Amino acid sequence: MADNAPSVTRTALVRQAGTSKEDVKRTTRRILFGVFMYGVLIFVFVVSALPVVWVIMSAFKDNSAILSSPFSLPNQLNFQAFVQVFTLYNFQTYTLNSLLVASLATLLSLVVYAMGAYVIARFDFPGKSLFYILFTLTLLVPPHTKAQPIFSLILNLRLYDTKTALVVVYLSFGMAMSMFILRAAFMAIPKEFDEAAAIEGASFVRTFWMINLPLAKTGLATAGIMMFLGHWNEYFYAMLLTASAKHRTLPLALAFFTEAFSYDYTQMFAALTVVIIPGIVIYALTQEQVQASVASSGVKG
Amino acid sequence: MATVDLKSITKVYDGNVQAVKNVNFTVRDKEFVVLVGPSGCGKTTTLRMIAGLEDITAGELFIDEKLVNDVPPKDRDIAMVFQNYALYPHMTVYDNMAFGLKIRKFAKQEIKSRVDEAARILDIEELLDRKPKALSGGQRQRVAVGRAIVRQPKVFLFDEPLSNLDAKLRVQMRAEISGLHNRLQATMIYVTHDQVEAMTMGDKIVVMRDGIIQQIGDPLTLYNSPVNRFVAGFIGSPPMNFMAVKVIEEGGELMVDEGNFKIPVGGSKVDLVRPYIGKELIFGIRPEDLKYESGTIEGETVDTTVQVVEPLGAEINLYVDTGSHVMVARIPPTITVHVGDVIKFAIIWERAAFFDVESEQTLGIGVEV
Repeated sequence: MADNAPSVTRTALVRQAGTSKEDVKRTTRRILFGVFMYGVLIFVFVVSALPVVWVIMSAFKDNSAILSSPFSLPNQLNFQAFVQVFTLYNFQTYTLNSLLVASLATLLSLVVYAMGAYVIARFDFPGKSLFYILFTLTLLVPPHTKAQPIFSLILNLRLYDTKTALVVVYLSFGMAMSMFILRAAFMAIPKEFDEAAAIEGASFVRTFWMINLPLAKTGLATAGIMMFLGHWNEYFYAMLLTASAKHRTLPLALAFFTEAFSYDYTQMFAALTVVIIPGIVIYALTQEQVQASVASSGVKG
Repeated sequence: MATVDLKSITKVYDGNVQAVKNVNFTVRDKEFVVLVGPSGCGKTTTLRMIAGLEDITAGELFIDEKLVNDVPPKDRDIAMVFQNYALYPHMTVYDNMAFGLKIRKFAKQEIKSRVDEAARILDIEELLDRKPKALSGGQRQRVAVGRAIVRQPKVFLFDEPLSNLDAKLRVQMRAEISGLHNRLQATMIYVTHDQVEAMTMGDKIVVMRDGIIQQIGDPLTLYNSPVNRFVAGFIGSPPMNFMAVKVIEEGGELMVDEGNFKIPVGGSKVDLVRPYIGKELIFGIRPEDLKYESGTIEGETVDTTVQVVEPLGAEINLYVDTGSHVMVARIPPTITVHVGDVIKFAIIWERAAFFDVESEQTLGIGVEV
């Protein structure tokens, strides 16, 4: 034992020296990676979030301040532009229209898609794959190419220039994506819950409504948020299918607004802020569920 | 309470996979029947057919003498405890247990009294407001059992309910479910792959393999009189030792020749193996029926070398090598044995078994070949 002792110590020393060299290497690598990671994050933030921050900031500055020093912080929290947007330009009607159309279309389509996705996730029936492929195929059709048939359809249904027209058309938007998310959500729920419910005496509808729907809530939240934001921001069909100001939604109102009053930047930015904020708030509130669901649907889809 | 009758029940899946083949057995009123077998033997499929979760391909299923082949699960008046408990994660323990009663439109007061009673029996009164997520494995198990008992069904079905618990808890829950059976006096069908569970819990055990029933009997009958090599090897831990032997006659004495040793057959087994002189048989002996011999009774013992010693406290399991086979022997803890020792074992012939090489049936029991 005593003879071995010096050699053991030497080996330990060599190993220690090697370790410290490697440590330096590893630390450098970690720092470089950190710099790269933060670089990417900052870049993404600058291109995506900074314009939004700038819009919101500008809504609190007066016209001359926006023109003379566009990147300065506002001197005071002046809500006057917002008040004007709502009182002078009828924005409460447009906001209500947008809320109504987007919420109604989202809720209705969630109910329908959840039922469809549940059946596709749980049961085997002839043509199941075909249905699913057809749903997915709708992703490949550019929405604007359907403008003519949809316009004719809405006209023939005598729904032109109504909010109902928008709700009906929006119902089909986001179908492929929602079916994809919801199917994954239902597939992640163990089948034993359905079987236990069947033995307990629950009907098909009750099993869906009381067991599966609550358990798929992350999927529902994700699909719901994504559809709501899509409907909230939709411009093309809102323009195509409505004519009167009574049925105008926010994105459309914004277009008219910028055309008429483009010299008043403060009001324009206030109006933009009104359109942007709800989406951000809703996403922020449900962010955790949306992220969890997107992550899991990626694995299980 | 109720009886369950399976008559020629068969299950064929798509692609012609026969999961269950012509199964016949009867569960009497208040009986605790265990379906046991290795994975893929069709025991769970059989249980799921009784529950109504799988269609029956052929045969007839009677619950309480009523044909239920086409009756949906909810109308069979059964309750089932699943392997993974299947407790609804978004409901409290109380709501989980009350779910079936609410659907069946029981009065609120009745629901409460039944849930409280079940919670008291299972000692989970403290947990009624919790969600399943906040429970331990054993507690979830109790809630799953509670959900079954509040309904007061005709038949309880258990699908490997203890397989997700750790060994200690499993032993405890085993006793509790047996206790529950005595208390409720209910008809219960229990599926497990664990022969210890089967032996300790069942009034009657149905041993299955490859979708076919091998033997039905009470635990000791299965242990002492297995009808074939599979049952003999499956029931009992450590399992029975098997070795191929040739029956020979030397100097007027009937012997089995294992290759490395010859030993005279004793007791009632002499007449049993006499017709097989010159032929091969499978010889089976349980670990506890190998008798450790400290003396030297030449010619009537098997010489072995100790390979592994497993002291379990109350007994010692020895893995011993005969030269061509490794056997397990169970000896009292008072005997000191070391690896490498050469020791002798006598055979308790009354407890030994012989099996036909081809059919693997036990000689003298069941179908004799």
